[in-house]
Amino acid sequence: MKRQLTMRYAIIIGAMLVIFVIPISIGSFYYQINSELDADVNILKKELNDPILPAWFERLYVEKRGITEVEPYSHREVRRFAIYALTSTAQGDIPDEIPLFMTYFWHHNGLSWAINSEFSTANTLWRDTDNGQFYYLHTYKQWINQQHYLIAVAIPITTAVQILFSVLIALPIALLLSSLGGYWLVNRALQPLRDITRKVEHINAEQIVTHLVVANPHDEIGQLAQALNHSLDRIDQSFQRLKNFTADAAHQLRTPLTIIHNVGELSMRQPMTVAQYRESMGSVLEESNKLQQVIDTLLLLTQRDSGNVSQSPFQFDDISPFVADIVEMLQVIADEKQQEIRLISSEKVPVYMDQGLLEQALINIIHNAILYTPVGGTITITCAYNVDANTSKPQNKPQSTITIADNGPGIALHDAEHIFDRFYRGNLQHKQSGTGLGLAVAQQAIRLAGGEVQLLNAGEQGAIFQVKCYVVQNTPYSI
Amino acid sequence: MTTLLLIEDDPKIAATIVQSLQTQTWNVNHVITGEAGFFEAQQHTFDLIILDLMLPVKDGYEILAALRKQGNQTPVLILSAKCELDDRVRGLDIGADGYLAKPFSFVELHACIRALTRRGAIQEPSHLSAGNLQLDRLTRSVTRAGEKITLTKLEFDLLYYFLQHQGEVIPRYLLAKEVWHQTQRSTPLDNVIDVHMSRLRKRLVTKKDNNKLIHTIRGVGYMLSTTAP
Repeated sequence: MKRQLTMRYAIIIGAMLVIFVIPISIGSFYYQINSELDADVNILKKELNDPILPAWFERLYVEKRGITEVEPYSHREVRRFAIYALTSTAQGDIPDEIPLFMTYFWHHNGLSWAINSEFSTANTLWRDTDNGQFYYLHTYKQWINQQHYLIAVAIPITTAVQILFSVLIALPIALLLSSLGGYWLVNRALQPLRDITRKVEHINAEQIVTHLVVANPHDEIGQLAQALNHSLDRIDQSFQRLKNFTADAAHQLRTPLTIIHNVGELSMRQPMTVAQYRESMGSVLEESNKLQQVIDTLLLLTQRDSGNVSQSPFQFDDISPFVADIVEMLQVIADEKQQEIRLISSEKVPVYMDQGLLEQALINIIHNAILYTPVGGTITITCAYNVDANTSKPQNKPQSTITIADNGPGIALHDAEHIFDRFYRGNLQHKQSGTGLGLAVAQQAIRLAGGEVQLLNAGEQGAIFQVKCYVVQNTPYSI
Repeated sequence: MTTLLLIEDDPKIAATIVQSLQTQTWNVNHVITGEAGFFEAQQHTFDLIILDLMLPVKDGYEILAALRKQGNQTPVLILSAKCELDDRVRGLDIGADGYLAKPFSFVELHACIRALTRRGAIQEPSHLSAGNLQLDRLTRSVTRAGEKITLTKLEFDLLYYFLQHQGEVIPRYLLAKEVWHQTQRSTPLDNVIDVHMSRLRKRLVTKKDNNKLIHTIRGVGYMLSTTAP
């Protein structure tokens, strides 16, 4: 990752340098020289128009160019020029051996090509053999007063060439340095990722709450860290639930096992009467039934958790008779506690759901209500269509609800959020009855069937459970 | 005489099954491994093979498949701790005639064996009795020592089922399945059954005869018998 990014970075930088820096520097180099030379040549041309070439040519030139001082004996970096008179021959116009005018240090050596050029202007690179300097030579031929002249201007370019060379040499070095810089940058940018990786590596089921540090919540890595934190939270919560569940399940299974073991041990300790033995065996069987029920229910929950449920939804025109059947079935238990179950349904309540799942859920919820409502209490079941149970006002979206309200002790606030958890029992008196899975089964069944069940109130006013149902095919209940 | 072959590797389970089958005057041949069972099934003719699914080396499915491939059409009842739908379907597809999930009650096992070894349709009796209790299914009337007893439909069905299985201990889940037609084992229904059973028991006790006919067998279920267990 680091290497790849650095490589790409270096390639891009290198390409940029090659594409932009080199042509631009070379181009600007030529442009600068040419414009200077043009300026020189123009000045000289003007001076040539004077009938008499001034003896102070050089001084004039220097003044016009705004160069105040020319070191006459300097061998370096001095702009040089010469003006030749051209003599017409059969081979063309040939400059005189000696120029009409020349600046200090002018050499004729090596200039013949430019001077003999048949073009009116010519450029060439010229090296002064005396001082080893490079010059850029520009020649220009012009007729003035029937006389053909050649103007030759040489500009020292050693510094410019040196600069160009140093650019070319510096390029790979710059590339190398920028690559190193890029590597460092990438390394630095990826550091938080490495931190995250290291921390995530240490996460296991036991130790999830290693929260990743979010340096900047707005950059990409901060967002990644936040996203990871959120999902770690969720995983932690499910692990926690799983842990609680396992602990509860173990407890739920261990209690009957302990009883079976103890009863068996007691029976073996001393001879008993047949009736006593029967009593013991009955107790053992009772507990084994409980074990069986817990295991069966757990298996059912697990199977359904994995989505292994076949459903065949049924369109009820009115759910009330279906609910009435369930009530009738459970009525006997309520009768034992002198409880009254009221079924209120003032209109047709359409429901589209799987019968089996809905029935199981309703049985469990209503049975739960009977269990928790004291002797002589009342359970009110209301089937309603298009009415919000909270406000009793009609709803915009079609919705069918079955509300089971009891006037029992209610569900405490701290229990309310766990009421559908597996094995959660709050602080209840009915320790011996049920598996503690009834509401969990109910909720799972309702959800699988496409509905939702919730506890509408917490507190001492009795519990109100509401089941929201599919009304017709493909129109889910509204939340 | 009905002869059964039991292929079951767990000695405790096998022992209880053999014991329970012998009380029903059935002949039981018990083997421990699938291979031995396969050999036995080829050597002798059985009325029914009771096959455990989880066997060492070769499992029940393999044994069953091999038997059916050989053309052996002996009815096979699968006993298994695997109670998921897929396992049932697989077993029945391979050629099993019945499937009973562990743990099961002996009443249910016996009922399955009777159903699978039964030859020809059996007629549901229209008249049943237990001691001085008389039930007529056609007129739906029940009398005890000549005294008429009024029952609800559910109570009548319950009593009819118990009279059919006199002297047998009926577990609640079997009642749920047979009388309430509920397949899921659930706690709420057990409570419902208990209430109905206690009501039925009270109804059957009359002024002329207050001997209990329905007995609660703790931890198992209920039994209708003229004598106390």
